[in-house]
Amino acid sequence: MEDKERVERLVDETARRLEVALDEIRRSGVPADAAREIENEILDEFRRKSQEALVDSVRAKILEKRAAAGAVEPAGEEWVLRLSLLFRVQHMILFSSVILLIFTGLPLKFPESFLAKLVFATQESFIVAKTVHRAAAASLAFFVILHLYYVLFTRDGRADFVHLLPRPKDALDVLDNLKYFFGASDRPARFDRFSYVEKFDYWAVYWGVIIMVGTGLALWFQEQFLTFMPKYLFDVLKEMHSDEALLATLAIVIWHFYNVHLNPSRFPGTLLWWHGRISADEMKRDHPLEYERLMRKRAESGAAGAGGKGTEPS
Amino acid sequence: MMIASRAAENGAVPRFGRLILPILIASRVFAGAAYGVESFPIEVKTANDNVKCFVCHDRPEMKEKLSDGRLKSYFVDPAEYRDSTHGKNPCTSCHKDITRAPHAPGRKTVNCTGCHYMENVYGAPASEADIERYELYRKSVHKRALDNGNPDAPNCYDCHGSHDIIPPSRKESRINRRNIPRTCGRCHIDEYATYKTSIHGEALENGIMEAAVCTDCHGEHGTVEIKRKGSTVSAVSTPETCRQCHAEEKLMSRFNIKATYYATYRESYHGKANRFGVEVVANCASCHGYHDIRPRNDPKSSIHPANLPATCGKCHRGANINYTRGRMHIEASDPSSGIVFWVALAFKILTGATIAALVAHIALDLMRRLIVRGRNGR
Repeated sequence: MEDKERVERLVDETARRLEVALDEIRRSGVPADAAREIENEILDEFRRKSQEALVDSVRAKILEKRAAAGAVEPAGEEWVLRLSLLFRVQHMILFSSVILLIFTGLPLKFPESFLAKLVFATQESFIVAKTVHRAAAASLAFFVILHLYYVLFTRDGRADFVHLLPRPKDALDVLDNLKYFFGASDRPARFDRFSYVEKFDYWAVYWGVIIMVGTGLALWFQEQFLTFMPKYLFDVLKEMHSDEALLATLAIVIWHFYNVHLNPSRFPGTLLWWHGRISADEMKRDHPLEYERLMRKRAESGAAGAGGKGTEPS
Repeated sequence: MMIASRAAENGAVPRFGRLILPILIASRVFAGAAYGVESFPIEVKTANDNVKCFVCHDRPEMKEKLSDGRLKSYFVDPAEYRDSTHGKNPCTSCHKDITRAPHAPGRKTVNCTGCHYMENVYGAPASEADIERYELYRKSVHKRALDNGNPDAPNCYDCHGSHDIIPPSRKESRINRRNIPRTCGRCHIDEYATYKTSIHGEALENGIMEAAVCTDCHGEHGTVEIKRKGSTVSAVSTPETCRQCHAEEKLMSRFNIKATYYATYRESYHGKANRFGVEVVANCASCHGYHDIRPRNDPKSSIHPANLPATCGKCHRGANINYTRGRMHIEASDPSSGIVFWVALAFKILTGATIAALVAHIALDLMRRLIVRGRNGR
């Protein structure tokens, strides 16, 4: 009702200004053309101001209704929980293990490198690096178990796993993005909860972990392995361990770092990995399908009268 | 090692040595009295004067019985001496303290550095390298043993000879390549016997002068204990020593031996750990042996397939026949490495293709972002 008062005030004020202006004109004997111009100016200002007031009042009414329905359109500053706590914990275990594994493993692949001279400065540090490598490997194995638990026994995990399964849309998304990159389309692919970029990262970890943990176990327990397996198989596994390590490192450093740190819209990185939240704007931009589904869900639950404030997307 | 065991055998000798001197003096005095000659001055200024010395010293029977029962010979073959490098020197150039005959007891040992030092007036070989060799010798296990009172430890003339010194280039020289093992073997007899049966020893016997002799691995003047810093045959330094020959393409090709063993070792886990000073990993000698190195097809060789489980088993508990199923010294980039080569190749292709695709995607993304930004006028 505030808006009605605002409009009424505006009408009164304008009338008063017109009256004052007309008095002035009459008294000073300004030509008729100039007098009409002044009049028009005052009326134009009224038109603009009254329009603004009306639109504001309508917008307020819409928001009021939405609020009543319980479905709040996230304003620019709203943050939506994207990654659950368990998801983030898994990621932290994964990246700390992998960083340690890389820093203690790569020097062995490149013994002439600067990194090797740094990490393997002495006989003792060589042994320490070996122990750290194995501790980090055990931590990685723990991550695998935790992730299997997450995927099998938690609701979030099962839902995420289904979202992460590759599907034909991913291939179409790649094509859409290629079209966009080459200027044949002016809009990039519209992703759901996980883009093909993220799915690649996810499934690459499966491939990498299976190879690295599988071959790493043989290297770790080589005497046991060689009691029933031939040496050439051991050599093959050692080669795979070394080669896959390089592939994984390059993939992480090039692909993952670009997509979450170095690309201009995220540089130097977000805190998503820490607090798990994503801004509504970012969600609208990077995961529009998920965003729309979230809004629909809010509207539906609002229509059903639940009035819940659930912000967890699915 | 050998010195130590010999010293143990003759355990009494060094301590007993202190008792020898008075006995020696007594026997000398008695000898002089026996000849019925008082000691008189002699002058030996030139090689021609050496005849004076040979009056007595050309007699093979000129020996002295030491108190421990050993015989010490004072015989010098005049012909051999004249033929030696020092043949033109008067005897007193080395035996500086001889002024009278019969000689007074307690004579000094010969000191080679009396001539062989820098800028010496005699023109004796004493280049910087020669001096350095002496400096090396001073720090060697031999000199330290000598200084610590081991009478068996070698002085210069134990290896180079004394009255029979000739240039090493001559076949009969004690330090000519073909004779070095025998020279070292005079003390290190067990090692010598083992070496003789090894591939290196056999090759040398067959006139292959490139075969490794003692000094190629152990060094000569500067040889030190295995555990001591600077040893060329320690767990860590051995590969560097073997490579001096075994990584030489030209040399190895003459004997049909691959020159890649060192490189492939360096790329193995053993080799990489070795580079960073890890002592427990295998070095060349751990598998191939050292004085007893034999070719793979020799049934006595430590790397003969039948012996490999035992050889690997020195470090790897429970090593069995599986350790022989697969080649040693493999190189992933070499097609002869079999399945390892193919796996490595597959990974190379996979890695190249994956990274190329990822980089292309990133490049296209960045390019598009630039274009969009340009269009928006920012």
